Amino acid sequence: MAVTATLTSTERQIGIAISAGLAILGLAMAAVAKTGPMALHGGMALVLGIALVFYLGGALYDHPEPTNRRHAEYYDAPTRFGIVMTLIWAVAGMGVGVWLAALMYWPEATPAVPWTSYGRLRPVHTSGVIFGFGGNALIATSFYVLQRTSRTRLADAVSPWFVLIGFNLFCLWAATGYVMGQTQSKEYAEPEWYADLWLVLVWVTYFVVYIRTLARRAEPHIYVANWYYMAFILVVAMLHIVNNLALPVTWGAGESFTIWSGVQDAMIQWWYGHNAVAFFLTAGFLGMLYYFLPVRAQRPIWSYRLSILSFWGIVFFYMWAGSHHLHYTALPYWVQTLGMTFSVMLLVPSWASAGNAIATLNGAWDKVRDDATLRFMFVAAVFYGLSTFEGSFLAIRPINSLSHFTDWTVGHVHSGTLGWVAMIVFGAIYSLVPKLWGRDDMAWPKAVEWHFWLAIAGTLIYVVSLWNAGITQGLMWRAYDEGGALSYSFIESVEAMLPYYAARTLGGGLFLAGAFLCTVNCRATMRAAGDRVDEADRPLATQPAE
Amino acid sequence: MSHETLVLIAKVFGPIWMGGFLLIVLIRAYNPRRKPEQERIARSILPDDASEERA
Repeated sequence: MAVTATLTSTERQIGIAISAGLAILGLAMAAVAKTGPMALHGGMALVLGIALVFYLGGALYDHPEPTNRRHAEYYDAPTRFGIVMTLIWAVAGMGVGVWLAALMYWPEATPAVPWTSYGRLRPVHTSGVIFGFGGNALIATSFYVLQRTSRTRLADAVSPWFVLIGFNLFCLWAATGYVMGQTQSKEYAEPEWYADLWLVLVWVTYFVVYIRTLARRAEPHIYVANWYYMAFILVVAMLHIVNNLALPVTWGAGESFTIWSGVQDAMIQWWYGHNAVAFFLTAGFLGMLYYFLPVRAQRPIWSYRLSILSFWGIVFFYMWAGSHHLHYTALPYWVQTLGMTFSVMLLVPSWASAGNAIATLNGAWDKVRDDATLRFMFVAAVFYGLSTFEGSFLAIRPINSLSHFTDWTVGHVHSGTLGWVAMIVFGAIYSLVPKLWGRDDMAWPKAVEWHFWLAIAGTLIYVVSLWNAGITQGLMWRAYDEGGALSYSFIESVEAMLPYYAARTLGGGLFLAGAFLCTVNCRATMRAAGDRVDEADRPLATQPAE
Repeated sequence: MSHETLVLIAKVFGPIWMGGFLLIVLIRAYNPRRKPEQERIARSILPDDASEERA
């Protein structure tokens, strides 16, 4: 069914008005900026707005009005769109990552064109996978989980589209801005002021539609997965706004100065940066884990009360952990110690969640053996436990003195992002795609098994090679001879990295191959969509949304 | 107020406030009277015929 057929004519008209507003905004941006990245971004918004006006306008009178019966069904069209965008960003973001990994081994392969430089492409990889891949997966699954756990349809049909399309426009602005050299030089918060403001608008809409739907729920309780998704939405809004407070140099260019200065700037940035890990890369994905793992295993979560305790533990402790990124800096010593202490304490709620997920599978190990989708989720829980242990360990000051600035940190991040975040996303995707496209199973079930082993092999090769790389680097940098001089020059430590960089490229390549296989498999499944409807999968609350 | 006093208040108040809040969460979450409701919530995401395996 066409997306436009899911909307009433009033909703189509609202959509046209919003799209026209976007086109006008884009035109104004392009007109004020005249040249440079902001002008191009204005042009992109203009083209997208006009395209949407034509898309919605062309179908304005095409479809009969959806009947009131639609309130007896969940609204999954936005989730389907979000999954498609997740897969596109997965291949693009991971593809750039593998290319950059290869450049570290063959730096001479960098083309002599500015936009292909390592410094510009690196944030394309990080934003592409964190926001493009992870963000779309979170938004798409959150709409799905929210409706099922609340037993009600999304509160309205237009705002989910505004959230998803607006968020992807932000991601596209970010990636294209980086390759043109636009950045505000804050890690994981590189986009400039106008993109940041746009994201605030999108995110507030996301929060409102989430709350409105929760308010209409037909269950007395709010299932714990929603708590995690809500923490993700709320805290990311707070982090994004505070860290990106900046004064534009002019209204006509993507250039600005942060209002924070000196060590406060560093502290705000890493308060943001580490909580981006906590609430973007952890809380939302825990929401995914707490829903999809029990459903796939057909067993309730091992301890619901433990899930509540770990939720509040994560919310309380993570907030304070960011200063462990600033050990041995001008930041007051006690603030560094505070960050270190809370990072160690974080192990308790983190392992509580990981243990809770693994204990849920007790008695269902036969399913884990036979079902690659459930195995993705199991491995995600294991890597969540491993990477949070490693994170607490690396936050301890003397350990950090060895690991900081080395590839150990990069290995740690990838043990979390590949082993935990991506694995739970793929588990959720393989659960959702057949269901949302009316089938019993994926088009190629064996390819899921292949993907699983490619992902496992890729993650292990990547992480183990960078553990070796990082510890070697750290030890080489602190080695002294009898005379007190450094034993190795810096370039010798770089040369020592070559075998590890080759291995990490191979590991990343395997993981990318798995993601590509998943994308092709999902496409085949979508093209062979069936008409299977799960009669039990319906809202209890059927009152009209408006 | 001097900088030292402010830092002292922050250091003392922060852990007490957070520890206290976590204690409230602990008491509420682990109150035995809530167990039946928690079990119902945990099962609410599963189809009615599933999950009878685990008590």
